[in-house]
Amino acid sequence: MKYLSSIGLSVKDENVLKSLIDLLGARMSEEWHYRDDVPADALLLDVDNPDAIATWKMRPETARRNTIAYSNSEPGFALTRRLAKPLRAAELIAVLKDIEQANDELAVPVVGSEATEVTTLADCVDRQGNGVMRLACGDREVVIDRSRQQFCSSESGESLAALLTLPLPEYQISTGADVRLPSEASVRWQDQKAVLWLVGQCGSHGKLLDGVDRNGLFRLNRWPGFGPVRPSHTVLSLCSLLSRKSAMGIADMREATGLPEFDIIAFINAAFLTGILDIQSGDVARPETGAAKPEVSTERKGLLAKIRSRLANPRT
Amino acid sequence: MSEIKIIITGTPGAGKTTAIAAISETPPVRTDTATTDELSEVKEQTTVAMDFGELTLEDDQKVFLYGTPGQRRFEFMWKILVQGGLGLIILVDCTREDPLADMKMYLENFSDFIAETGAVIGLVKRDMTDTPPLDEFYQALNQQGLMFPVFEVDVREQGDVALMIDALVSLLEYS
Amino acid sequence: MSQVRISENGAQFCQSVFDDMMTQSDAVYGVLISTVDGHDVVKCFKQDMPASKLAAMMSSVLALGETVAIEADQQQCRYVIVENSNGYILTLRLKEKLVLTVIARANANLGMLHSITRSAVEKLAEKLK
Ligand SMILES: Nc1nc2c(ncn2[C@@H]2O[C@H](COP(=O)(O)OP(=O)(O)OP(=O)(O)O)[C@@H](O)[C@H]2O)c(=O)[nH]1
Ligand SMILES: [Mg+2]
Repeated sequence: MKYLSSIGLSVKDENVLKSLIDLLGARMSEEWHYRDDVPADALLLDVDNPDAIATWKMRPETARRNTIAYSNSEPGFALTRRLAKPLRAAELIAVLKDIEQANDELAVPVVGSEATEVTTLADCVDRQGNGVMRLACGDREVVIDRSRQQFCSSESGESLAALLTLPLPEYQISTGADVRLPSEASVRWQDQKAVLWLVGQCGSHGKLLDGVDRNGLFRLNRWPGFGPVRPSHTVLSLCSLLSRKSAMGIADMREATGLPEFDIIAFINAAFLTGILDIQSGDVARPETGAAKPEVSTERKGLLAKIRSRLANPRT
Repeated sequence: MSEIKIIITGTPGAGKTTAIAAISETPPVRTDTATTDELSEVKEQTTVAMDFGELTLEDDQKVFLYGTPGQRRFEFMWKILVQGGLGLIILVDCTREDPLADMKMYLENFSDFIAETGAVIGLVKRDMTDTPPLDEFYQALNQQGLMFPVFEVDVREQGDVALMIDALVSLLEYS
Repeated sequence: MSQVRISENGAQFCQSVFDDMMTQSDAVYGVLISTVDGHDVVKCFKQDMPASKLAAMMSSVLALGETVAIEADQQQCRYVIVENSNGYILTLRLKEKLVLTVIARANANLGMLHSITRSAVEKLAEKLK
């Protein structure tokens, strides 16, 4: 038995959805029902409705699993599953089948309500959603307040990056009302983007975030703000690559840059956490590889590398 | 070995001359003359032909940095200066009346060159104003089907100028 | 648009100097005073030419000439001359913030052109403030 629920749909859409579900019957391998009162296996979210998004964001991460973005146009919203308005039976069936299948693959023994165990700091921060979270290790700490979009820390620059690189069990983590906030006078709150970027870059340990589709195609909707940290060549290359017109998968990114998957995943996670990543389902028609831009010649690559190396060594 | 050049353009007073002075190894060649019109309220000198600076690479190859005059009546110099260029940096002065329109104007004027190469947008004087928000610049680019990096920079800082060139170089290689 | 403006009298004086130059050499068919930052101020053209564009270009040309001179370790750029198959364009600084440009046909004698221009600059510099 599987349950489908929805947030923010118009009365008409909700009625259509309910009657479609009733008609699914034998076309699905599991029996699906529309229910609002039990934990849902799939959730249809009207992303054209800002109130609905706000409500959705308040829900715990577990309740947001398998959310389907339902919208008029291609939403600038990082969800891998999408349905275009109006509802059509065939498309609905396709998404729900996909969810059934994904859940089968996930058929690890589930303890309690937590579907998968969180193993990295990046996942941990991503799941935290909107609340306050404090990470501490000895006398070093970071407090991230997602609702106010800011953070503060005892560390800065390289030492902040070092703190965020630790394996997850090393942190003492407190969330919500349990967080003892540092006294207002002693701390400097900064834009959370800087710390979220670092969490992705340092706290991913080669593991893609649970919320990101491994087979998705990625594209940046803007470049990260680097602030005082000079971005590495790796980061600049990946930013450039994901600025192309057509979105790219992880394998394409590896091929184009020769970078290890570890770095690519750190980048994708960082971009996802800071909200600058657009993800398209990898199933949609892939762009023709023939349309790819011509290779940059070796001679030119050499020249560009020399300019880069010159910039890395400022002369006074 | 062919000449390698990077061009810096943007609104009058945005800091093209300042940027080249910040990063050039040699004292920059300037063609600044006294301002005689309303710009003189903002600054005393303006570029009428070009700024010129250089960087030396490890094998003694040179990268030339050219700054264009900012004022529109020197448009003819823009065309001359971009010939054979590697890429373009556009500086947008956010204290001016309509910085988004300024950016669009330069994107349009250099559109052929940009299409063949690439561009980086530097927003300057952000210490004096934080509008328009960064997102609006990305939206404006997006509307023209473009995706270029937009950075908030202080062109008096060598590191910030280096970042723009660095991003431009990555863009040329990977995007 | 330029803030450099010349009085009615000043403009008349300029025109009379321009007329003198054209009388001294009938090869001269255009004289232009513009600002160092490229705005046109007064002109006398015997044939249609884009004054505002020329004003901007002449300020670039003169600035480049002066800069090139310094790079080549030469002092005090006096003129920048563009010599073409069917004419000459001669430009030089007039006081601190102005530029004088003389456009002549190929039958002009370059020495003569120099001297006419020099003396015009002297007369103009004395009168213009
Ligand atoms: N406050 C502030 N001032 C800046 C900043 N960037 C540049 N400036 C100042 O702005 C002025 C820029 O002047 P220039 O470098 O001559 O500008 P330009 O772009 O070459 O101008 P034109 O040649 O007239 O087109 C300088 O006085 C700089 O010191 C900034 O980020 N903040
Ligand atoms: Mg300048």
